[in-house]
Amino acid sequence: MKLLIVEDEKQLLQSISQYLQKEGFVCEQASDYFTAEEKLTLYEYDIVVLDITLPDGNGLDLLNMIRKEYQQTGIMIVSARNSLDDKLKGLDLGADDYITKPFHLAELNSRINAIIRRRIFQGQSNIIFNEIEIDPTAKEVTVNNNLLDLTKKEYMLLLYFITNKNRVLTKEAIAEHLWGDNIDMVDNFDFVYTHIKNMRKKIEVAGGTDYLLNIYGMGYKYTNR
Amino acid sequence: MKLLQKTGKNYLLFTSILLVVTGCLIYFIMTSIIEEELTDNLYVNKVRITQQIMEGKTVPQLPPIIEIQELDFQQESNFIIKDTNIYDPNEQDFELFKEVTSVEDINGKTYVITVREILLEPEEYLYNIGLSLAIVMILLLFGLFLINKRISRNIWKPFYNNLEILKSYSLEKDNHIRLQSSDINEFTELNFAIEKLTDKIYTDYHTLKEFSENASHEMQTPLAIIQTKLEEAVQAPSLTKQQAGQIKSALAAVQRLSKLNHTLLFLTKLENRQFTDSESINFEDVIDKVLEQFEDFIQLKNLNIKKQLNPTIIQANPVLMDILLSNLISNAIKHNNPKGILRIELGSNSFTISNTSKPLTQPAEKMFERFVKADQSSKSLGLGLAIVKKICDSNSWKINYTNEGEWHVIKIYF
Repeated sequence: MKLLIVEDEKQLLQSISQYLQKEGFVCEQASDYFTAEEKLTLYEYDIVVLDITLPDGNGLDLLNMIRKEYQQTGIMIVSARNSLDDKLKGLDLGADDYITKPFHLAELNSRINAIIRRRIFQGQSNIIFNEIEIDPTAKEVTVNNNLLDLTKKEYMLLLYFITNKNRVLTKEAIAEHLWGDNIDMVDNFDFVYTHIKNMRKKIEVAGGTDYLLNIYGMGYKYTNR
Repeated sequence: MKLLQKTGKNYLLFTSILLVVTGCLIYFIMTSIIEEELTDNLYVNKVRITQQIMEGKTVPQLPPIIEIQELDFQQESNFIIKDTNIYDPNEQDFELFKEVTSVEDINGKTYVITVREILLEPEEYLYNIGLSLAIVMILLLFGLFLINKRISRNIWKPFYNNLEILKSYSLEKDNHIRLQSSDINEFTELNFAIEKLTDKIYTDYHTLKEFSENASHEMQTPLAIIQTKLEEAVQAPSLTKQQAGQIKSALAAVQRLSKLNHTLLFLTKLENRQFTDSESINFEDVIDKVLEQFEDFIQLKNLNIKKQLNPTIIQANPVLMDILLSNLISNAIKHNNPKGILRIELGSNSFTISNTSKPLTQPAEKMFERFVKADQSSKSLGLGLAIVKKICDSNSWKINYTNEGEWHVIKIYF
């Protein structure tokens, strides 16, 4: 998978690239409009992560250009604005998703993976982690070919963990993934804990290994090491 | 009181005093002139009578105007002028006369010559002067009234028009204020000052607004950097528990700051009325949708939801409507007791949400203010109800909060 990350803030650009590279993506970087435009005319990318507020141009113009030239490319908008107008405009112009700064890298990764599944594999590719297999189209999970009866939240959790495997995921990031803007409801993380507990139990009952590690009471890590 | 009425009242008061003074002056001047003339006349008459007697002519008696008496004794000549009341048989009344009595020696005989002239009574003067002045006063009043009406119609008209323009001026909707010009210097100056002032306020306001908006936006990127760097730091396998705790606190603070930033930006937008487009919304559907979003939290707290919804369609902005209900319902869940009750009622012109909870710790009227929280230690921002209030205001809906025992009730009238 080849990604182009367009972000004018170098520190952020570097963090995003590092994270996504570890996930096995080939990441190219562009820190301004001009570089991004140049790269986009030369190469075709599977996914473009696009900050729409650039110092030397409007990211929405780049979005237009990508949509015109490469219909296959998935576009993930990153914006400092939480403005609905921008969001709608971006999605109207053909962006696949929209994320507001500041975001969790794991969340960005999850969403990029979702775009890839939708666009490139068109839901044809199952996600496999050892004995666990996820069918994203049917939203079904099998462990050793036993179908799990997961709730919507448990399914989201498992997919999130596997997409961001070998990473410490904070409880905040997990809660935000599950509840989005209603995150401020989560005064304590009992909510997250309950869902995680149920998910673990269901996998173990189906004969699966519990790959989830609790890290310093701060969060969780999904790993087979 | 209107300016014209006030000045008019003062003018009238002054004019009335002036008219009374004028009346008094006229009275005293007139009476003294008339008396002088009268005395002169009487004196001349007496001289004429004396001459007639001297020439041996008989002078007719004409009491009480002319009375001549021949004395049969000698008396020294003298001359008296006085006012006297005499019964006048013709008038059948006592009348005031001016009287000149002179004792004269004519041709060796002594005569007492008395001439009198009727005096006008002071009441009559006063009456006439008063009447004239009253007529003048009435004419003055009438004239003043007409002039004032004309002034307020012509001269003050631009002023009143401009007042209306000023009242309806809004920094959000209008930019430059256009006032009606007038040929009165003071008004032109006032207009100029107002236009200058509003232009200054307008630019200041927008610069400030733009600045705070930009500042809030600009803050998001550094926050994003902090957050991602902290999340990277968490990945280190050599992290001690203490370090992890520190990073955790830092991450929580970043998220809180970012949330605050977003919420304040949203409030600013709401104040700027950037959510103007409205559409017909099925209120019931929105309630059900929001309740579904919060299903997890409702289940976890074992809340008992009691709904009583009548189908209601309202005109509103869908985004605002969503936020309004999310905030109200999330509040009612968050502050509810475990196994408490959440009651939602929707009528044709009101929406009521009630929940059981602990009694209120601060005054109910502070409920809708910014940064007011039920529990100061809670992680919430204390902006939820401030936003609810703003949304109601922007739709001209009335909202009130009441607390009776364990019941907390918020009611919106639309």
